[in-house]
Amino acid sequence: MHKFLSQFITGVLVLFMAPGLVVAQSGTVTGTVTDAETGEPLPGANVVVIGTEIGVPTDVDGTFRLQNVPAGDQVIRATFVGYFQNEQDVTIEEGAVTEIDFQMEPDLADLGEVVVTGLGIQRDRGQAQVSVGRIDADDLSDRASFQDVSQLIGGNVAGVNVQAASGNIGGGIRFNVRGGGGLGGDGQPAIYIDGVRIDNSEIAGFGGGGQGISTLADLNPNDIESIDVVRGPAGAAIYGTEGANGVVLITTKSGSFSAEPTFDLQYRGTFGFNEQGDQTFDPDVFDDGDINRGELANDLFRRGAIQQHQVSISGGTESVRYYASVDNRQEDGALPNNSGDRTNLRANFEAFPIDELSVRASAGYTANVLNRPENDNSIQGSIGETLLGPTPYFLTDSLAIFNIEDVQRVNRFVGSVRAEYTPIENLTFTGSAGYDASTRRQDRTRPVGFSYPGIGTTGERNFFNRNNEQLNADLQAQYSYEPVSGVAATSLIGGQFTQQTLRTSFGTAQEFATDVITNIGAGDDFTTLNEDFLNERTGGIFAQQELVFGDTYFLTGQLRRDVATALGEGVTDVWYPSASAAVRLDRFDAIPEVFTLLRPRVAYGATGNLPGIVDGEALRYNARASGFGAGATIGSVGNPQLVPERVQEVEAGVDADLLDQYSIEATYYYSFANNSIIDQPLAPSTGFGAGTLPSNVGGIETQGVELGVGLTPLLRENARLDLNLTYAYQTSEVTDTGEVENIFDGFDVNVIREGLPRSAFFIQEVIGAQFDDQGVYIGPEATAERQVLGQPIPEHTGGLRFNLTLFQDLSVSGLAEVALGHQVYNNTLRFAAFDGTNAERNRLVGDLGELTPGTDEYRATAEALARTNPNFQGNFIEDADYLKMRELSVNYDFSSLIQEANVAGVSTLRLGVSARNLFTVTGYSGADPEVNFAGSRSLSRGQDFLTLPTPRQFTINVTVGF
Amino acid sequence: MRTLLYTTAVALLLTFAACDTLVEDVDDPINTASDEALNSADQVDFLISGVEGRFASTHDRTGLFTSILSDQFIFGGSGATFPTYRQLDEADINLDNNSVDGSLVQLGEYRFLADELLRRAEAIDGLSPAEGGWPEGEADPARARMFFKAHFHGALARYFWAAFYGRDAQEGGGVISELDSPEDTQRGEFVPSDELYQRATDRLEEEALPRAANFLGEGQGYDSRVIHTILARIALFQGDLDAARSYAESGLSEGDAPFQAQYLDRTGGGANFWFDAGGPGRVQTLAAPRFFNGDDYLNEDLEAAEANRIPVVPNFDGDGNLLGHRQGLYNERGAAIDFATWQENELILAEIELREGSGDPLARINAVRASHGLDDLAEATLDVLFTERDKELFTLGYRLVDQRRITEQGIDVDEDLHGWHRDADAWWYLPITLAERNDNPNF
Repeated sequence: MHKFLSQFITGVLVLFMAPGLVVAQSGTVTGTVTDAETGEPLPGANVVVIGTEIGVPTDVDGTFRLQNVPAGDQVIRATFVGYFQNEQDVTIEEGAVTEIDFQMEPDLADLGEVVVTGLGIQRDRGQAQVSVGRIDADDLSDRASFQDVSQLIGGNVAGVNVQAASGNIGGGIRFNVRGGGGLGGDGQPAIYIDGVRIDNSEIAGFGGGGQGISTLADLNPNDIESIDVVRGPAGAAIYGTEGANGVVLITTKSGSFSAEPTFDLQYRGTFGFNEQGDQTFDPDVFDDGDINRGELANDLFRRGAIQQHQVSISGGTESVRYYASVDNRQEDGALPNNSGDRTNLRANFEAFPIDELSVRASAGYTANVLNRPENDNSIQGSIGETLLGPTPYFLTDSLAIFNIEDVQRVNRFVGSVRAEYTPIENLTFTGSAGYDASTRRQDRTRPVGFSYPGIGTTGERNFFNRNNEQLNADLQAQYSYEPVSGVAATSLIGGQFTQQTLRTSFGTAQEFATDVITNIGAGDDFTTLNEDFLNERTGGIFAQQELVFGDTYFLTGQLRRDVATALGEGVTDVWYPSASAAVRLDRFDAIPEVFTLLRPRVAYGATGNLPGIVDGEALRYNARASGFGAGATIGSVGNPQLVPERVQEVEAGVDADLLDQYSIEATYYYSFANNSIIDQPLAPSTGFGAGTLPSNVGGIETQGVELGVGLTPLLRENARLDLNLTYAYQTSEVTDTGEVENIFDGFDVNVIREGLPRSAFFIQEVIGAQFDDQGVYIGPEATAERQVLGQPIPEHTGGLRFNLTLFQDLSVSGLAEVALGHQVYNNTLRFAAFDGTNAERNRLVGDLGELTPGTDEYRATAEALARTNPNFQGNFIEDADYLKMRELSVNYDFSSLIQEANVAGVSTLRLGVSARNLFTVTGYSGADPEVNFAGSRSLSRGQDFLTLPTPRQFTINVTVGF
Repeated sequence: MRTLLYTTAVALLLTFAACDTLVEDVDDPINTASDEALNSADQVDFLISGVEGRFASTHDRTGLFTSILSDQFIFGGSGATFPTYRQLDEADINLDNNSVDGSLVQLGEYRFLADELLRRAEAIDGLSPAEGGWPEGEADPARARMFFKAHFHGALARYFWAAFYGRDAQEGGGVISELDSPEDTQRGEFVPSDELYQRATDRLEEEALPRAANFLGEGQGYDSRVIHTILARIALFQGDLDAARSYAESGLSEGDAPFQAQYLDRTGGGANFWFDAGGPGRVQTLAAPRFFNGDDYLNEDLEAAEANRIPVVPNFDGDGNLLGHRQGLYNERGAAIDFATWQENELILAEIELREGSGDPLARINAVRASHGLDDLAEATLDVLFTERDKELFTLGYRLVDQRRITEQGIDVDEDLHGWHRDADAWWYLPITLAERNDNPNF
């Protein structure tokens, strides 16, 4: 034990002193490492002399050369991701060159997979101690067309539910990872692209009725190679604060190393359309008696064309690989003033200038133009003006609506550089820097000549500028060693730094004299002009120790300290520990050989949310203009007693692979947050009713089960069927809200309240009808107190992905998603009841008038009528379970035919058709049970209010390789 | 080995320290300032303007909502969609009415900023000039203005609570939570209207009046006259006619400019709320139908003499059908709203004289009418007086108090014309909503 500790400590310290530890040697070992089945060389395999610090990676030909190996009997070990390790005994003679070769047997348990377990650290899947979801994005985008990166994730990772807030192109996206983590923050995972911590905000700018634009809409899914999702603090604690809601790690394409230089040129074209169904808004639901409002709203929709073209090149040499692409996607939405035009450029490059050094550079540029329609909580939206109002377009004329131009223009650069330096065997320094810079400009114009409520006929113009710069830098040192025989250890220390600088400015002018000059200065009435600025930094240092006993037992411990900018009280800091363990039971003889992997695992981790930059300062004032001049009013309210929220999670699971055809991953997790920072509404009598007080008053428990099953039930020479099933159950309970009984969203519908699930619908419930002495209906009878009438986050989610390949070249694939155990507040239907366009309520009112008070039929009708009364929001909470046929595609690969026909210059040809959101099975009476009228970041959740549903999409895809 | 351990320890400590320093080294926000930064005589005008801005945003919102709650305005018009306004019109108000939330937030901040102005004035008293305090050895006008405005607006904030808000449908009053710091969990208890009226009166009489000068901008003595008119109104609302007469006799008089809330001619918090809720911006409330073709109100052509006092504008739906008439007093976002006028002062005196059978109330009423170019009336009765108040105080929300006190104080008028127009147990105050109740265990 003493020896073990001594070597352990030495291993950690060698990180700092490694260059000086090289000692004299006396022999040389050379050889190659190859795949035992294929004979292919394995570049990058590690070859080490056991019990020494001597080791090297293999080069591109799989060869290695170990120098200064002590003379005598030695054990040489070769390891490579996805293969069983291989050891050979050799006798080294002084001054001699000994040659040995390693034929590596694939470890089927790993199935060739590598997962990223944290901070970009790759591990064999067989060694992972936490549940990490991996998506082969390249494969998915080969089969179908995806609008944005979120569509690649939804349904493919158990426990990760991705919801589009509306059917708007480029609209907001909410990730719901394991029920949402703690109560603080925005509940969204940190997203990295090639090591760049990217901006994942929803940008609303001016208006929109509640919907914003997602910054994820700037990314091109076709450039993505793979996506890893670390779902909770147990796995993401090494990310510190950013890991509270999970981490999404996106890796873009990079070409491949090759002994012979390669160059591939590929064109990919997509053509298709978006559409809404002619029954999107049910004509039987929305009818005012004279005009069928559902039909009127459905008539708004059109087929919006889609076309996307991408040209990419990729290839590599022995020491360089690269990928570059140009992509343009033009897409029209189902409403006339909804469109997107996105151009992406990408250039990725990786090189080994010397054996000990690798450098990877990744750069992506986006020019994105998004035209957003007005809908949701807006009186200038086409859906509201058709479904609601005493007459169609009661408040805003249709022509005026469709002449509103609301465009966001985005220029964005996301780039990173990553270098790995291995000065001596098993010691690696990794440094990376990432930069995400974007300029976003919104121009919204209500043209002269149209009348808008509040604006008249003289037009209005708004501009909104947002300049965001995010910088992150990471430095790590990792050292692998063998403290005692049979124990492999890896020590890692590192630091991380992030900075965000955000500037916004915006202005509004009205009263334009002409529609041919529309710059904002041409408006006579300059009504708004302002700007904002934010500069904040975070820093973190961390250490990790990993021990592997006999390739069977895996143990990892981590500790991280985070600090963040905080005005008033200086920095805030917090420590985050984590630990994990796993056992490869399949390596015990007692386990049947049918198991190629059987691994129970358990992990614990703590992360959290740090207070915002001004959250610790009791009071800050802003300057607000009034008729009396600019004066000091309340700017923000803070809490000097605030401490960081802490989210802790325990995860336990088992991974099993059977034969080559089945894999099962099951995970149970339990997370609990305390000291959650909740923005607590304050009573108006305090003077701070306009703001909220960040308070450590929150606690929430979340637990759930995740199940992933992969199987190949059909495996023949000319037919193969792969199925991947994901299922997740989650439940949450708020355990603490301090002295605040209820924290409601802006519409007093969703609540954070002790004993209830997160964002539960907590409203008075109508329990019947009231009658006067003559038996005449006088109104609804409701519960005196609010009741829990449901919750917006599905308890059960799942997906079934299938891929059927016939004759090697024809494939049919699809994805069905299901969500159960949640509700939606149908505020559209409620307002229809207010406005006389709710067909059911109209019918009941008519029926009641013809019935005789006191009769059973009268009472039954009155009871039904009471349950349509719009004064009680509880009448409009509906079950929203759904099954969606999310993707369906058919592809044929003509490549082999092309090659047989020897078509000059063409190496690949694939054709496919795909459909998205093909159909939905649901009992919900609204148009789409997934949307939310207030975008994807609000406290309001699961509220449908005049929201554009997600469209159906049909595309044809062509890929030609040269 | 020891060297290695020391090296490691030092490296870690340096890293810790570097992290802390690095994250502290950021640029401050440009749109907010710390509380301490405003503890200076240099900031007095900026602080006072903040209080006055909230006075304006309290007055317009409270006036609009109480006008709808009274029989003076109704829910309707080409832009009428808010169920919360409908509830006000029907005096059947849910406690989650977020429109009323909005006015409560303005009033709460108004009260806080006024009280904070006083606290800060006292704090600056203790500072040397070098520390941002007042110049030594002289009576600094900024110092006097700061104390006057703090007391004046602190009193008005309490008056707003007392006159217009309530815990229950017919139990008026408000709540003031005076906290040491925002995280202080103490919340004030409900204070009945009478006590809040008394607090407002005390502040005005004992603190503002002795400091009155020319802080309201209309010459010497104006401050005092405004305060007396407000005191007279409070006394009248409480039914204390003797006090009302006493105050009103020193109140605003003919020729005095109205004391008004000022607004900014742009969208956002600085604009007149009527513009976007019941004006050119959006019409969600219309003047009650009785303003047309009723005795002593407007005629069909809208060009009758009363049009100068109660201007209205026809409002049509998208098909050109007349929906009603919106107010026409505030056709610009920057239009000022009266808070106290000499005309109101005269009508207070006229009411007292009518109720007590003294003086010449008809002359006072006719003087008010003459200021709008209206013909003299031949007779003054309480019904006539309340009709005149209805028109003179159009859009200000005082009509709601008149309707209440006719019932509460048993004033002998035609109740069909001037009494409470909704169910007897309906809301006749704006409710203290869930926004307060959810965070105040005293409710």
